[in-house]
Amino acid sequence: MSFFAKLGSDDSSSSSSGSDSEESILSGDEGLEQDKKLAAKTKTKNKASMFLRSDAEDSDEDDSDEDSDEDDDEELSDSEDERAARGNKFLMGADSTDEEEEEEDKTVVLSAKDKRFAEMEAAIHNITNATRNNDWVLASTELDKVFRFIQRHQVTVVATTVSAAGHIPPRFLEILVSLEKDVNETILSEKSAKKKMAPAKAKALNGLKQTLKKKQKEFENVLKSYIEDSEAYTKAYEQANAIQAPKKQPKKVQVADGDAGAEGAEDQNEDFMTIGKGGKALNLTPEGVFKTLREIFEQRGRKNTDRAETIKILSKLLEVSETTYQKLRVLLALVPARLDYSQNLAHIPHESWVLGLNELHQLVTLLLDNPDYVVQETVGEYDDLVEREPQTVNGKKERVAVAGSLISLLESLDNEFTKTLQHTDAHEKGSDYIERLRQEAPLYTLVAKAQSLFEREAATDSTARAVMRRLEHVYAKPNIIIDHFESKIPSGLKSKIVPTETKRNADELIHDLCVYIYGSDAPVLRARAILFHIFNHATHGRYHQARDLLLMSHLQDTIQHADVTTQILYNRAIMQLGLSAFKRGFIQECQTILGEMFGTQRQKELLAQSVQRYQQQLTPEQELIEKRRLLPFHMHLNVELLEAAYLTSCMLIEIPLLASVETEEQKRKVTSKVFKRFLDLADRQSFMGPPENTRDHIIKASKSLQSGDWEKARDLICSIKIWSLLDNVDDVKAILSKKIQEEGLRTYLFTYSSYYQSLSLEHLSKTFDLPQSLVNSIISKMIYNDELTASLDQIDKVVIFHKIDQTEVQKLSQLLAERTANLLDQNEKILDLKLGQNQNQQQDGQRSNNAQTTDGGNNKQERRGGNNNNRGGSYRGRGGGGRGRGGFNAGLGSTMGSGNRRVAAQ
Amino acid sequence: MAEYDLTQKLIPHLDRHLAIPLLNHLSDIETFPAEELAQAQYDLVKGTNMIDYVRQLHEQAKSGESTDFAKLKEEATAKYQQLNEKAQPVMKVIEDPEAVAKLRSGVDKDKNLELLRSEYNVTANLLYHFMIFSPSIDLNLSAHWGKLASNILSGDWEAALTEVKDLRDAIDNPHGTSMVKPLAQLQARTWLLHWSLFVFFNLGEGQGHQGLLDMFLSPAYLNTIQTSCPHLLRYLVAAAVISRRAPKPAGTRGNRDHIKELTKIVQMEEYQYSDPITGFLKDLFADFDLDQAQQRLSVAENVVKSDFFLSGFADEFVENARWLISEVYCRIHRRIDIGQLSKTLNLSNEEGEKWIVNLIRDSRMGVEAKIDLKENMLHITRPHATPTATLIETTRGLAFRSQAIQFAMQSSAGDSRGERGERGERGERGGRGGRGGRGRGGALAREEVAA
Repeated sequence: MSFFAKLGSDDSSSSSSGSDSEESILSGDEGLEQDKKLAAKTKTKNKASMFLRSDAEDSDEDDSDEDSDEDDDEELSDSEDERAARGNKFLMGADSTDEEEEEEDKTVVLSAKDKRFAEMEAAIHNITNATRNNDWVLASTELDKVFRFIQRHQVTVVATTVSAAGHIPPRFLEILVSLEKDVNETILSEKSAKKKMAPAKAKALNGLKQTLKKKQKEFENVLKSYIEDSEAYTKAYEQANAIQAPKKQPKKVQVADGDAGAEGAEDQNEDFMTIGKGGKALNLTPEGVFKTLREIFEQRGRKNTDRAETIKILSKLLEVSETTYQKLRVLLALVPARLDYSQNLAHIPHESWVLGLNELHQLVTLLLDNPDYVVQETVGEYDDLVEREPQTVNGKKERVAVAGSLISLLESLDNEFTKTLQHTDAHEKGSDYIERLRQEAPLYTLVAKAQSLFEREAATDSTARAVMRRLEHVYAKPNIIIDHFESKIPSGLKSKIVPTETKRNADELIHDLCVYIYGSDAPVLRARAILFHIFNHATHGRYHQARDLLLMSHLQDTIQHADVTTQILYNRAIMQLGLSAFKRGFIQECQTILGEMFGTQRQKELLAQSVQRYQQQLTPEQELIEKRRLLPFHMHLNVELLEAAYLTSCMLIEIPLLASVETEEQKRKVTSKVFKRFLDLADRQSFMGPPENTRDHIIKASKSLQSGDWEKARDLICSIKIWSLLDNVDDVKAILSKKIQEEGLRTYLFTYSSYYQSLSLEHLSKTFDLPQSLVNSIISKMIYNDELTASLDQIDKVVIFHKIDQTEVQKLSQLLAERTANLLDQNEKILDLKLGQNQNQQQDGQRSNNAQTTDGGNNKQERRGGNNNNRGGSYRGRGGGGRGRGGFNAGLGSTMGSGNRRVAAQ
Repeated sequence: MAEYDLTQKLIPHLDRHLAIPLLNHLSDIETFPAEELAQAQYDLVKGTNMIDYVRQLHEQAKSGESTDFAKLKEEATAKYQQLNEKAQPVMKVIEDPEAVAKLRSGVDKDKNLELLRSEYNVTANLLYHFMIFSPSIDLNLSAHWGKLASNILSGDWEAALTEVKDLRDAIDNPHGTSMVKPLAQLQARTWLLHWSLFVFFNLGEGQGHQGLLDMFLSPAYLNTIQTSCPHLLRYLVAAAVISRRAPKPAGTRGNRDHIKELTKIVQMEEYQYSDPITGFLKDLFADFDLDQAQQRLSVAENVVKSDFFLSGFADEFVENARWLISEVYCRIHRRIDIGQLSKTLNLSNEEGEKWIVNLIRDSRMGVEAKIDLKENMLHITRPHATPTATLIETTRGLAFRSQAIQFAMQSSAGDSRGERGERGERGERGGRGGRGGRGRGGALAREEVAA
């Protein structure tokens, strides 16, 4: 006898009578039933793995027998009663066509009866235990329960046609007799005992005695016959209740005919005791599949349906179903049932999900193997109780269409997968996470199969959606994993989009999938596909392709209007693009692309990697929505790496720039704010310790670069650990150190040129460890672009500086002059505005006065718009090279920003 | 030079007939094996009805397949005759402007046939008439293409230029035509870009290059180049370099802008396309690697010489490229070794000296340069602005501009006063002077400011 199981049942029964009494009052019998279910649930939970356990029960009758052997008798009868009840329920529901109300009523009564029986058994068991322990308080409460039960039982039983012998269960009488004996004995022994009982106990004992006496009177006749010959009574009782056993067959016929009379009701009434193992056979035969299915469908969504039970039944049905059609129907019910399993829980349990995956896989394979069957969302009317097979009409085979939506099943299964991952902490339960992640390969295979199926059915919409799902699984993965996924797909799969015959690598796969989506007519899917494509290109270092794709898509103009998921995807793609620019050594581009994101403080949130924490408080609903959007951990982009890339780019760009400008005012204008803030912070510190994190490293490197110590800067940058996450670390480091050398030279020239009359090129080339030709070309470029007032002397190989120092007065007067010029510019602009308006006035004045004002207004707006554009265009004007192609990208950065902002706002 | 040949990239975007001269050119310069070219030429024209030409090529190519040319010719001629007869009424219609183009379809076929017979002049004429009569926009468009091709082939460049312009209008303003689809538009633009190469490089001096720059650098076409045919950058760069010194038509931007813009684009598209010509620009203006630029230039010279479109401009190209190099040189350096400069420019010492003298003589350099023959070097003294000078520079024109503002305000005030009188009268008549009154107030205020 399993102690734990026992304990569980005890707990539950007491709690059911205690805490849930309110409910049981409210809903009467139903409440009781529910309590029972609760009890069953807690019971199973106490066991090591509820799913393994339930599976075992599902799959094998013998198993359940074994179980019951282990447990005590009560549990045996308990579980079987339940099963019988289930069977009854379905049957009742199935024939509830005629006298619905009446039948429904009885259904409840009947099933409740079984439950009550189980409860009684439990109570009796408790009583025997209690008497053994001299716990009379418990015994009396339990006895009350038993009486209450028997009262109700009598009321219902009398209403049916069970013969009188079958009214009172022998177990009840037995306990009455034995209890009386116990009580009398105890009282006798009490009298002789020296030590008195606790007053509460004594009181309970006396009360018990009183009630027993009363009840004995009540059941005098039956009791007498029982005491006379208990065995005979039991036999008679069983006979009375077992009448329906030989009637099984006819009843089924009756039910099928929809002729459910009093007799039928009676039969079911007597169902519970003897149906035993035969009950299963009754319902779970191939012929009964459709009826059971219909029954389940009717129950679905109702308040008190036990989803776990439904799943159990369905999986049994699956075992017994024989024809393809039956299997299809059962699978189509089973998979959603699994997915519906727990709406309250955050996600369905992983094991259950795996089963669901396998079943859907089975379903898809079934459909692939049987081209005569098809699952469609809209089908013609058909009788769902009749078996159907493909028929040949006019020499053409008609296909059997079954109602259902494969794609939505597939999608919700996929969503559940994401949910599971979302709710598994990758840091604390790493192995769990990986365990779950492993299921992605079978899931991917399923998606691929489904896609092939949809292609065969020419279901364009579904195909596109399946392809999207497939893309979602592969777009952010390294090629090696994609190859692994692909290798799992059976080679016989037919697909036009990605023919399995030809060998392809991962890039081509993604390309093919994306191209298919581009051809579809859903703009949202297209946008997402292009973002997947960009992301993938960027991940694999194909910066130019990714950039061109982004610019050609014009997504940056419309992303503000897209849904949040797409915006998140957009942000991710942009970040990846920036990183790939960095990897390739396009520092300028990297800074421009990443700048917008790091201008905000909420990178993680915008990338859907954590929920917003600061600033405004979120309402619980909002937070829930945000949480649902979060990406599972393995999809996360490393924000620290991105930041390191961004700050390093900033360093390479801003440090020479800072050195080149003189006035404080100009300095304020030019730099990227984030980087400048860090730099200022470091400036203010009187003492700077050794660098600890990535940011420290970069800031310290910037400081060294500023003072011309490029070697130290290089060492600091190269010692940043996070670079090791890049796949081409050595290349990146090489590029970075070269850039640092170059920018170091530029910074040096800017900073110290005023102290030199001339500098030897050779010396510079030695100091910065650069080939002389490169030094030459860098300086040439600076001179040509008027950054450096100097010239080269080809003969002496020196650079000669022409810098003329301005006195303070000269500086100030120059400043004043510039300001005046600015003022004048402003004046001219304003005048233009006024004049433009005036001219409009003159023209419009001839026509109408009303038009005049509006026109003027428009004009103004246009101008203002124009100014804005200018600002957007010249935003970081020196970065011309990094802005992408001329008219192609009207402000990649700025629009991206609005996209970001938009996400944040929602 | 074979690796820099663009013909393969160009042909897919050209009409069959336009490709013929390209291939002929290739066989002239003998970069590729003659047999391959002959075969290519034969493959090209195989599908056309120009039977005689095909036969001639067939003999050249010596390809195994035998074709009954006589029969083909017979068929073609018969077809031509037949169509000609059918078109007879239409021809009459053309002569008789009163009639309407009911027989449009007849003309359409006519067009095809004429093209096939390669009587380009006649075709152009016919198509012109066709366009006048045809009410269908799409058909008209293809007629435009046809006429452009015919004009190009018959060498009527002026007419071809107007045709290019018409087509450009039609493509850029796609109202209800098949051009509405972006993809179709892109395709059409790509074609137009390629076809117009014929026109621009054959048009008279300067004008062609300027036109090419204008068209190719307009945003829509620049995008097209970047998207679908980056190899056209070669012609763009070449045109920009060649027209470097050409007298600028009034009102256009300076070439310096073109060069800068192009450098940026070339850098951006480097991953897609680069050849010695674009590489030259990049070396010079992005990397400032003058030695490299000089090496590239010598390669580029060969490329230009063997290019179908550019071969006529090789000398100009080299000359202007040298000019660019020396300009950069002078701008950066203070003392230059003449020998080195000559070497950089691919000239002998004496030639170099001559070249430099010319350079100095051309005052547009804005550089004070003197040759020191004893040291064999060039001194360049670039006046560096003193603080005072920069101050003067900044404040120059401030007064003038302020005055201009004042005038503008005065004149506008005067206008509004005059208008006010008018409006006042109208106001009396129409009974709505309110707005006029307000306007007057504004004008007065402005006058005060001006005073």
